[in-house]
Amino acid sequence: MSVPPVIEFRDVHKSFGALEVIRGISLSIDRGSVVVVCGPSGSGKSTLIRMVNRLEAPTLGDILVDGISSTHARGEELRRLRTGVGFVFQQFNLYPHMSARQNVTLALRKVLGKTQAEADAVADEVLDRVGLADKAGTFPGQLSGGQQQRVAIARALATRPDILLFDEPTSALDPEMIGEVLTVIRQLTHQGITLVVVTHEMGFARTVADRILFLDQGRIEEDAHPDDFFSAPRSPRARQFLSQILSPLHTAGD
Amino acid sequence: MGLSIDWSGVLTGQPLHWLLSGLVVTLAITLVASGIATAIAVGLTALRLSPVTPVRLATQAGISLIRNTPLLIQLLVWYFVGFGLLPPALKAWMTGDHPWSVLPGQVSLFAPEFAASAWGVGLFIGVFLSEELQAGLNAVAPGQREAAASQGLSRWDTLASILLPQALRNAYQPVVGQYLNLMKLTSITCSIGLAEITYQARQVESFNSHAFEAFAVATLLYLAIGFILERLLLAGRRA
Repeated sequence: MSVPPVIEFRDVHKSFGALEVIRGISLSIDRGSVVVVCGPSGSGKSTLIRMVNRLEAPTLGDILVDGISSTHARGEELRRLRTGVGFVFQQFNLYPHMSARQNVTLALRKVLGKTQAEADAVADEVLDRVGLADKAGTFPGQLSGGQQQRVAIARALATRPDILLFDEPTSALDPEMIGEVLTVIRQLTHQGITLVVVTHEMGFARTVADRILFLDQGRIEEDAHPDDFFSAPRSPRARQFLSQILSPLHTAGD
Repeated sequence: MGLSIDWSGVLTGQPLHWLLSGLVVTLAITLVASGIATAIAVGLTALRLSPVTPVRLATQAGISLIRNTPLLIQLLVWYFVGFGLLPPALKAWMTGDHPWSVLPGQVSLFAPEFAASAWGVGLFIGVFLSEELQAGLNAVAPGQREAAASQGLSRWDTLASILLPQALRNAYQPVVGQYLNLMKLTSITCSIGLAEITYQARQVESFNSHAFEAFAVATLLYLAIGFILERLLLAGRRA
């Protein structure tokens, strides 16, 4: 093994009070790969990726991002680590008092110290990448859910992160907007950025993922290539999950 | 003796000069105290978000002290006790002559009374402003803080660029109310001898007994300042 992993979990546990949501996860993610994390509600998927950039701190264990412990990083070191990890939230979390362009430029100016002109140039470029060049001056309240999520993706891309984390990026969207967001995410795959996507969109997972992690009750129940995962899931829980989520009454949407 | 109204008793000569300089002093103290109150409100909001528990507890204790004691007592303390604790050189400078600050009617704008009043009223209203901002902050979605954290923004940038603008939006009406309160509360500073509108109205009353006219003019002046201030602040929201 010559290339070190871009993200490494070392026996990570996480409890919220008495509730243990992550029960000992060790995991290495290769640079540039596309990993889809799935599993039933409450399995710990969101917590897993929220610990990568320390939106949640592990109770035990360590997480290395590009060799740096996000568990132990503080202050300036943690902020630098976070600028290298873009995060896209289920609820978008755009800044409502700022235009799409300002949403994108804020961290460029405040964290990376770019001038307004440099930041604006980056904003125009990333907004163009998500197909919203014409919405730069628009405020989040005037955008559809799908457009808001694409601005959020542009915002996450602006600092040129090595890693992009998506926490159920389409779960808050109306069905007709899911496709446009998945299309944007699909275009980001295999461009050198490592993508970790928590999603229930199994059609998307099947076509873009290099690797599927199936979580159940805070443990990785299955870690497989999508072909193997969808055709022959090994664990009974994964089989049950897939039969529910792939049933004709549940459309994957992509 | 009935009430006979004679406006010339307050709108000419020395009484007019007094009331005009009172108006200037009220405007000046309102402006300076508003600046102090704003800075204190922002500072307290930052301290309340501190991850260090003793800092938060001390901030809360200080806020309780200011909120739950009368402004009049606080002004008297700042004037009679606080001023005495300043370094001698600063005290000498503050009590010295400042020709640039002499207003019509031989009223000196800058003096210990002004400094104690601006600080006292600014601190008092700053505490109430920080309470309003806190209420506005509680209404900001938690995801906003997470988004800022995930982008690597510092605590200060998160407060200044993300949280405060939204808190201010959420609490705009009560915040405007606090600035109007500040303007009206400056009338209490006459108790430590600041020669603002109320002080000068009393001076006119003791000079020529035109109490009704003097306080009528004072009332109208406050009303006019309040009305204009309110319009300005509400226009600021739309901007």
